[in-house]
Amino acid sequence: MTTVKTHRRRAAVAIAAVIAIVIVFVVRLVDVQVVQAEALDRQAAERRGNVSTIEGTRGSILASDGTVLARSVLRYDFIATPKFTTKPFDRTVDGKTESVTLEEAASEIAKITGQKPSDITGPIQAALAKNKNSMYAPIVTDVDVPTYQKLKALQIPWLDSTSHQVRVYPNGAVAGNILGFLNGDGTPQAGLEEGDNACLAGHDGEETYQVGADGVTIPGSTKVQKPAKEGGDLVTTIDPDLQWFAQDQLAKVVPELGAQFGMVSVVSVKDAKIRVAAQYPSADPNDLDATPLEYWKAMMFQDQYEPGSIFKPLTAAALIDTGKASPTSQLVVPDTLRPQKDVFVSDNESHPVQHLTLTGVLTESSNVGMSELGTSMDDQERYDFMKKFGIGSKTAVDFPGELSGTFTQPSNWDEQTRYATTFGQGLSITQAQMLGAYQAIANGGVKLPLSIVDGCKQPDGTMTDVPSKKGTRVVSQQTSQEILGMLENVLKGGPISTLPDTEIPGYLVAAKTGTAQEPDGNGGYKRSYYVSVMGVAPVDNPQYLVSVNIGFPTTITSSLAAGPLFKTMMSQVLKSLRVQPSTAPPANYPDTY
Amino acid sequence: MSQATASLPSIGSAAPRRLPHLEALPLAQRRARPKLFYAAIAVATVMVIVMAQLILSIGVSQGAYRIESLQAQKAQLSRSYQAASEKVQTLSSPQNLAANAVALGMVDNSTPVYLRLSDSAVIGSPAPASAAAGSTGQLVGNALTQNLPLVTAPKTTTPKHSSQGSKDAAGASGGQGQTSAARDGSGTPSANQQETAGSPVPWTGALPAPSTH
Repeated sequence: MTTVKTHRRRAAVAIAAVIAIVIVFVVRLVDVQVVQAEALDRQAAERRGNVSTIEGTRGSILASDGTVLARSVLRYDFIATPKFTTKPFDRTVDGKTESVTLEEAASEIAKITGQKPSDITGPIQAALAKNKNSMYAPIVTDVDVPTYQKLKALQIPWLDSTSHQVRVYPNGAVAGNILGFLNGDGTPQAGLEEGDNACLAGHDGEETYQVGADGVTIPGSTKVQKPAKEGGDLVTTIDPDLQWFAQDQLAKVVPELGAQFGMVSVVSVKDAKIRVAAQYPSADPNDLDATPLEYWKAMMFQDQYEPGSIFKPLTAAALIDTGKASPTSQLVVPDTLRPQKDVFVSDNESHPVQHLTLTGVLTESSNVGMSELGTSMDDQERYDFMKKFGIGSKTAVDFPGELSGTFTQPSNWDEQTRYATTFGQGLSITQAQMLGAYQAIANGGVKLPLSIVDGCKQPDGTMTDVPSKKGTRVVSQQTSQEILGMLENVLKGGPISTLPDTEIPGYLVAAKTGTAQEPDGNGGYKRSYYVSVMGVAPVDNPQYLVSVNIGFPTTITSSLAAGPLFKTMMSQVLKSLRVQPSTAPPANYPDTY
Repeated sequence: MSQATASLPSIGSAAPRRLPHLEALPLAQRRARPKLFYAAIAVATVMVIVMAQLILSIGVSQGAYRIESLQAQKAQLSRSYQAASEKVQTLSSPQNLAANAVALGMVDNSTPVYLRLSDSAVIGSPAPASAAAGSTGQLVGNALTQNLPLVTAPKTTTPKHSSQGSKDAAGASGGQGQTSAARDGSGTPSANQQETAGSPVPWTGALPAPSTH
């Protein structure tokens, strides 16, 4: 009996020991094969094999119709291995084998790339002189695909190639200032490239692989350790054809007027999308050096100026909305006003005392008339209205380097500023702010956030980062209508109407001219003017807002300078965006009484 | 020791039972002789496994070469695609299109006139477009297109055709070849552009027209 017991005990101990060992092995196996598998695999692959980067391509910038405004493409560099260039190599072409020396190969390369043969042999010989086993001498940089294919066809064994991404802008300077640019390292420096880098940037991935003796990757050894993330496509609201048209017109008109610069903008009223943001001079991101540095910026967001008379409709809107005035309010308007000590307001031209309505004050663009009425309103209330219009704060676009203008609290105003702010002097704005304010007036008094980007189209097709379109009411629907009705008279009877053909047949156009004085930096004002026209059409169903600014013209110095371009631009917008002609009768407010 | 002695008596009693154990031995001897048939099956199986393994690995490595060559082909095709799309995008830039349109004699009319169908009213006053008012289409810079030839440009690079063209023109003054002369006279580039490599593909066939109802 004892023997059986002993045997059993022995067997039990042995089995227990075996089971224990098996359990230890199983645990270890699971740990290695399942728990730590990934990390170990990666470690092993990195130790045995090669690691290569999978490039995540930077996304494109697209216009509203899908036109590519900016994209990343591959460019190629060729690197010679000087060590192997000392002996001629054999090349078989069409069954014939020939021996090719370094000099012959160099002249073949030079013929394709347009270099001199010495540009090829030079770096190779320099590298050999330093080290006769040299493996590295870059000889050709930044060539495109056709050149790459021609060079590859030469079958030169000591010539190797690498690729890198570069940014190209197929439409050149069209919207170039809005797009911005990258520096040599591919880091965004300005414009949408910088502002929406989070959407555009791709993220590099990593893979490991093993190579056999013949240079072929061993099957199954390629492992993506970290997948690359492609950048998203940034869809802008820009209309590329209109944008080109505006830039082309500016490039023609601005030099004719002897002006320094010009700007044309188009905003669609119903959704506050910027369709055109043109400027002259404009920068071509493909070749920035062709444009002076000061014009690399997007002037619409990064330039501030005293708006002058185009500001008057905002004061008028505040007056009408609070019931302080109506389009037919009557005023006696002399050409100068000296209401108190240290305050002097004058109209652009001297004139006898006029009996103007508020409509007439806008049509004739009378500073005196506007300051008489504007100062009848509480300063703080007027300031609050202007702030609601977006004056003195950045727009919702939040463009990189966007300025916010200067519009100080009424408590900081001196007496002259109190009067000047009613007609747009003594404060500064960006053109984008001005567009935002007019958009509110044209859109029935509801201000929508201005936008230049529709969203970020991810590689899987979904749109992300779509900007909010939540509006805020600034003035009432009726005020909005009355302001537009009053502004119909500007093209019909204002100073600008002395030009032939300022009206656009078939359309009711509300417009306002501005002839602003700009500070000369020494406490005074410059002698030349910053002239502008802003307008909305058609008044009975406002669709598009167009603004034209000409900086310091010399051949014509008044707002007449911007008039013809405004008409050309507005006609083109109405024509190409297929806006139906007006059907409602004009408001016909009287200018005088 | 005490255990051994204790078990001694039991040997005697167990002796008669030991005989059947001894009888079984010849049986075991018979079983130990292997049959050739089974050995052959085992060896064949091993051979088949080895062969299959060999064929499979040859197939896999053959596939690796195929993958390698297909990947090279894919890289080459995507390079070609990149080059072609880059070229199309550059050629279709508005500056380039406008400059070519102007070179072909097209003129932009900036005073559109509308016909209102409800009362047949003509809105605006129709005026012919003039070339002087239009733009040249080349005022907005683009470093990528500035060296591209316009559609009408490459007469000098195709001596054969330019001589033909001048012959046509000479013929026209003599009253022959009216149609080709008319084409030359209107500034249409005729077939010049087909000849230059790298210049846009010319349009052939009917012009696209909208279908109206």
